[in-house]
Amino acid sequence: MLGARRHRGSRADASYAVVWANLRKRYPDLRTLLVAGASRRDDPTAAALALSEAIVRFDNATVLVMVLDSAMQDRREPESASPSVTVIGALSPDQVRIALSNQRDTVDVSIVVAPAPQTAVDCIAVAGAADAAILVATAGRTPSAEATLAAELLRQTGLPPAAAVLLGAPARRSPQPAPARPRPSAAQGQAIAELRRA
Amino acid sequence: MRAANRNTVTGLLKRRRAWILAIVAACVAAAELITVLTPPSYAASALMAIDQRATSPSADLNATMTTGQLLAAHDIKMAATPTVLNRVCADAGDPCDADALKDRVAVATVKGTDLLSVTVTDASPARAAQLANLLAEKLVEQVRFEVANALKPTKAYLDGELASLRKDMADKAAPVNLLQSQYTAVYTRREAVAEQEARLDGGLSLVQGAAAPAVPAAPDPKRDLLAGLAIGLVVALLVALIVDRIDTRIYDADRLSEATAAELVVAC
Repeated sequence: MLGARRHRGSRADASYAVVWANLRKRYPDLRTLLVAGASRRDDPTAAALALSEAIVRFDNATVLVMVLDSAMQDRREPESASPSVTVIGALSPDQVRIALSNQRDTVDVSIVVAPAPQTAVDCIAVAGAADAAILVATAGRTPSAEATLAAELLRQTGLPPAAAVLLGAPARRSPQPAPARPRPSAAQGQAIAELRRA
Repeated sequence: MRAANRNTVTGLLKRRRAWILAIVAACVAAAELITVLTPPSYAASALMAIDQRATSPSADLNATMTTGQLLAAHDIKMAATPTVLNRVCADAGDPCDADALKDRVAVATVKGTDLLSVTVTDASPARAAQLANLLAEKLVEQVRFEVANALKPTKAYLDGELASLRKDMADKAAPVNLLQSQYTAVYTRREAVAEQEARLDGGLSLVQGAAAPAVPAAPDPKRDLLAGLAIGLVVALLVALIVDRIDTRIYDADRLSEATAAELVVAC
């Protein structure tokens, strides 16, 4: 059981690395990535964090993950174990846009986590600032029609989904204990504080 | 990447395993419940033999077999008639209803033999054996009654002829030689009828009486369990197919690729 879980974890890591490698090849100037749910039942935050860690491992880059307030389903502050990943939660689309412009020089890749475009306009509102989009679906949970609608809405926004990620079956997505949150650097902390004030 | 298994039986079984397990478990539980709640009933059987040559001893094999089948069908039908069942109930003692008894009687040929099995089920093993034996006995009586009834006119006619010839011989109404030869001919026919009656009377006989069964015929826990399991599996598979048909949720990367038309689809 434990072996299977470990195998599953390493397979997921490889899958996220594949996604990043593919995106980097197709979008050489990719700086901002939108990770959105495919339906109201999907939580894209876990996929965004896993992808950010894949980016760090793959490119040794600094990554800023911004989670829209409307995308925080369980209202828990998301965290990352990697010191190169900064996570900011509960932001509005305006705050995301400001952060993107402010952090352009300090982070290599920004990931914006948004809910499904059909569930909140926030996703559409930040889509214009992203270079590529990823839809996150959950096996056995995401209705096919919802995923189609989400992809179509992104396409109409001018940001067709570059990739889609299917997370494992709901039963296997048992909540894992959150890893110890790395202390943000002084510069990062100041940036976050300014962003919150904005 | 996850292998696409939407259209495979294995994929269906994996996706709907909860449904399948629940339905099979429910059916097995229902079977067990039926087993527990069903009062035990005992089946006692008496064996009877049908003499296939009873009607025509000189007939060939095919004719004999056909006759045997006809006799068996006749006896099977006869066993369930109110006439026979009422006689059984009359002798059975305890409260006995012919209509109710009819549903608990099963008469059938033993495959590949000329034997007839008379089975009666009852809540009491002794009572089941008693009723089965009574039914066999009354069936034999009924067959004999029918034979006697069928030959009665012939016998009456021949007996009348013999009496008339005896009277003529006593009165010397005709030449003695002529009357004697007529008498002999009629007497021979009368003997033939008597012999036929005796043969037909033995057309159905009791071979082995019913004994009180030690174990109930129903419920049969093993059979009920297997039936519940089989029914559960069939129903579960049908339900799984139907649920899978109406379920539009995404289960694999192929389906997600179809839905989003994204260039890259991965399962994590």
